[in-house]
Amino acid sequence: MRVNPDYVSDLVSSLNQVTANEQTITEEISTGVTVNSLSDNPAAAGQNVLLSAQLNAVDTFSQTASSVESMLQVGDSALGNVITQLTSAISLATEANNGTLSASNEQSIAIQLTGVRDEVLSLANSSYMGQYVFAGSQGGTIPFTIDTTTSPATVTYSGDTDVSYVGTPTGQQIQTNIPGSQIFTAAGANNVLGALNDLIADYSSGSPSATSASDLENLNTALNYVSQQRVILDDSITRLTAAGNYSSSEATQLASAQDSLIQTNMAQAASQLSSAETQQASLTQVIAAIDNQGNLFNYLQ
Amino acid sequence: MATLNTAFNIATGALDADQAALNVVANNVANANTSGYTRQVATFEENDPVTISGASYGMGATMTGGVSQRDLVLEQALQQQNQVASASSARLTALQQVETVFNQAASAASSSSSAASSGIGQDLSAFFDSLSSLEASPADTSLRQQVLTAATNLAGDFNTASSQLSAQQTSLDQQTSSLVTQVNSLTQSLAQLNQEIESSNPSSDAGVLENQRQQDLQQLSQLIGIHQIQTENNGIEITTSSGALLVGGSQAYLLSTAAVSGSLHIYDSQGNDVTASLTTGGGQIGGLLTVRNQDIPQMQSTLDAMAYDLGTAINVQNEAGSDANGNPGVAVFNLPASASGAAASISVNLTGPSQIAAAASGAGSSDDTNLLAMANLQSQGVVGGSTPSNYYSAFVTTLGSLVSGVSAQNTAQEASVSQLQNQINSLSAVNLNEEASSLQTFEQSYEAASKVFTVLDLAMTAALNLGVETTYSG
Repeated sequence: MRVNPDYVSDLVSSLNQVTANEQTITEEISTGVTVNSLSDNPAAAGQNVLLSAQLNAVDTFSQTASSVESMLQVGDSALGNVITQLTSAISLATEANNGTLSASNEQSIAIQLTGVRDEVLSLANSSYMGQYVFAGSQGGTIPFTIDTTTSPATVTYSGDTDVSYVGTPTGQQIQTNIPGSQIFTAAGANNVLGALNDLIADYSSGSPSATSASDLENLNTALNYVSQQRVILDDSITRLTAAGNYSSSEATQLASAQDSLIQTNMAQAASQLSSAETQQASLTQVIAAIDNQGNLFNYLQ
Repeated sequence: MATLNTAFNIATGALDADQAALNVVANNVANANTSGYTRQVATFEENDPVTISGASYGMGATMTGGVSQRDLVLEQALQQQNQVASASSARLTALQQVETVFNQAASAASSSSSAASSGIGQDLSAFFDSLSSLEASPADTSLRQQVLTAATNLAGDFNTASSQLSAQQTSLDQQTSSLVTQVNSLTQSLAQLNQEIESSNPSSDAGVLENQRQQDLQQLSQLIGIHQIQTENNGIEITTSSGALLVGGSQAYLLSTAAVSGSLHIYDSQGNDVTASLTTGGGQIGGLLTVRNQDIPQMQSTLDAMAYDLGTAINVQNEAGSDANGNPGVAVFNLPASASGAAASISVNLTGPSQIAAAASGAGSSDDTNLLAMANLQSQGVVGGSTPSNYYSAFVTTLGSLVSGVSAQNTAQEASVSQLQNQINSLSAVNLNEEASSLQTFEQSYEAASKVFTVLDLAMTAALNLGVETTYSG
């Protein structure tokens, strides 16, 4: 039977393949990933695009959440202070209403209440990073201004009733603000600033006016109302914290999913490399042995 | 009746024949490494016998010449397989170049804080992430600037990918053009060989000329897909796989190339545009044309669709809101009228960070309703029915699968080529062991013939000395 006298070239091309294989494995070890070009593992490359996008989104949300939380904390502590102020206002007004104080004491209570009202007003105009927190969507405009020429004084709200949200990677929307008009100048008995102004007007003449009892009732109602509003901010803070924690754990899971998808298993790669090197060494020896063998011409005399 | 002279002639003839056979062996050994050489076997033929008064006497032998050991069927099978293997090999090389444009998709994720390796996938998610960051404080100028930067990066990536694909097409055109030149020189050489073979060996194997012709055919079939038709007088007519004539008799019909609206077209000798048929025909030209006219345009149109659909969705959303100054939003990206060419020409239309319409129409600058909607586009099927990330992921997987598929195909075809080459070599290649033993055989035969000559010489001497006391000695 006939044979191909040039079979060494087949061996050489096998040697080339083994060398190419070695190069691939070495590249995997040096870059640390098994997918160095799309064709190495097309499905993994495609999945990696999605995993990377998810990881980035989750990372970004962690940072966004902490920034939003700081803003919410500012609003929350402002409302906390407002409640403290209102509590002291209520005790002042109660004292003024019991009818045993002199006219100058009544007037000094009116002055103290004015101080409370001004403090509440400045808390209502809280800002965070240059934006007014209780202005709705008009963050660049000071929300509450007061005209003290009237009696009772009139408060004007220059913001709007717009509510903003922040979105989480899981699709939740968390409220990030409460419009100032909803908290401080709500309708009817819930109007905090209105109740304070009314009480100031009640006592400024030196004796409690006819409406002072009902105005005090309104202030009570308003204080409860502000506490309820504060719950909205607290709720947002809680949800944001929970979402942030969930994102962190999800980031860990995604990172490890990505690892198992494309990271090189160093032990496996090292053993593959050593077996490729062994194969290369033995092929080289075989080729050398064949070359040394020669042919019939070497033996003719 | 046979005489001693006749015997002398026969012995001389044998010496000539053996000498000629040794020549054939020497020629084989000298050409052992010549590519395309087929070994020749010395063929002996008995000379016609002479009949005198009813008795026939043999007249020795002649060496009629070396017969090339070739199997035309195998050679043709190798040429066919070469066409297919060269096509997939050229296509694989070109596709691997294209693949490098998108290889960032294979790299591990970088967190949003480090300088990401740019690539459409990374910058796409960076763009949506910048929108999410802006939700924390929609009026913040530096956050808005980040959105603008991310949009610019994304548009830039589309432009880069698109222009790199176009550059690949240009380079493939140049390669194809030089291949066509090579094809033309081979067809001319084949036409000339046809002519020579027809005049010298119209009815038998043409030996060295045939070696050259088969060699040229092997090279030609690697370049371009061809069909061969045997014609009379040992000629071969060659056409492309789809029938355009390349070589007919002693005439070569040259191909020409011309650029038509930026892409290379190939024309046969009669001026017909054969580009489309050559694309599917095989050979390196077929492989390169497949990538240039089929694979790359598909990728371009996928990228165009992505840029156009995504850009349009973002534009529409921005136009639905109010920007930081209270004005209605404008388009974020500049796009052409249709998807074609969108990836190459997409650019950012906004001139400043305040033009990002975060607020709903009519709301103040701290509102983020419109921004939420824009960020949510990330998870809606705005690009061809899929989310932007899913669409890009599918694109990456498709491209990777195409390349690995062609690579697998090529490996199998190359294996088949090398198997055929083995079969041909086992028949036609010079086996030094065989030549060595042939050398021995002919040498022995030469010695034997010269021995015969010596003995005949003695007989002649004896004849001349018949009846005479040793007048002559041999």
